[in-house]
Amino acid sequence: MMPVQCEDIRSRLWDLVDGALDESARAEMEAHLASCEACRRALAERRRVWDALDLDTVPAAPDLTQRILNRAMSAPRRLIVGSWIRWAGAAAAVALLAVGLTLLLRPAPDAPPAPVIAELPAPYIETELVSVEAVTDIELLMYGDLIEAPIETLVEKEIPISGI
Amino acid sequence: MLVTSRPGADVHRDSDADLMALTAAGQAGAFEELVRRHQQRVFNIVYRSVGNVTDAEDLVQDIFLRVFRAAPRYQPTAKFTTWLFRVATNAVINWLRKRDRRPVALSRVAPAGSTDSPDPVYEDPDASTGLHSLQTDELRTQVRAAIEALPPKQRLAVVLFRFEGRSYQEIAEALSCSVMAVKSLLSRARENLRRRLTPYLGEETGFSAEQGPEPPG
Repeated sequence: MMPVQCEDIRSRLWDLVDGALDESARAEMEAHLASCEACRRALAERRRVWDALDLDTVPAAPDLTQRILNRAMSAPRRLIVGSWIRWAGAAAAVALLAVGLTLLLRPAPDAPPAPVIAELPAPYIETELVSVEAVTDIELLMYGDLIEAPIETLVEKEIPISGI
Repeated sequence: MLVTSRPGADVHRDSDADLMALTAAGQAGAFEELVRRHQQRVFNIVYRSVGNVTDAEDLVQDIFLRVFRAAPRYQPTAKFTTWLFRVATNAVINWLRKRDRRPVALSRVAPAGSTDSPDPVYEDPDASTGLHSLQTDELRTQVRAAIEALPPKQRLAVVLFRFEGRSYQEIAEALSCSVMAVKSLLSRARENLRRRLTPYLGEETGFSAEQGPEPPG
């Protein structure tokens, strides 16, 4: 069984590898290491692991500029309807149905919201959905929070679009 | 405040935040400049996280498409790169989780190290230099495999910390979590890496930080 002090030192060895310890903490650790071969080996092992990561190389990156620009200019707009359906309420659902979307609505009001994603061509969104007044935050609907939402809250589901 | 055309304007001198505003305003060349500035770094992060060039290329394009779409809503409350890293890590983590849920055709999952680097050729395996590079290539393969064995958030934390030199705070913002959570992720990631790589890092192997081979070009 490891002496208590060694356990404490081991738990902080990575801080030493990072150079993240203040003067006195480092001195304390080095004092222990000077007389403890087991902990010295543990430190050396961690350093070797960390240094070995340098072997991981990235291949020369292709220049994706043109492909990115092409995609940005031609991609259809995506409508992301998520938890906002819940507070926007039935009115929003009706309005969206009016533009020909088939929506999957959560059956139970207290169930966690299921984000629904549909892809519409860009001109369609601009001329039709802008007229949906029941939804209070059109911009959120247009761009959604997919970009910045906490990952755990997102579930993507492709749904068929009818009537377009 | 914003003009849609600025004859003689040099986008190279615009800040990232200005370029986002210009992109939103439809200024030609602004988004292209943003892409040129940041695509290498985004590619590095993505490649290290997903392990093969084809998927990395797709994801990088997807990430910049999100940047483009977000331009009208973008608020420069923090550094642009902090926000960009958040978009990138979200995309990578979502992608990794989707991939791990799907049954994957073997040809799509690149075995660590094999897709983008050719098999090493051993001319004289008994020569000390030959033996050395054998061990290094093996170790490199194991390092890549060890990184790809990490769960998504641990992987991203290591990539951002170790390879991109981001601070705990920046990583916390990218991963939408606390600094404490970042430290925990890194701690677990390092333990996983250590357990996995130590068998290949015995004290008697030819690899060491001080006298290791030159990194490949």
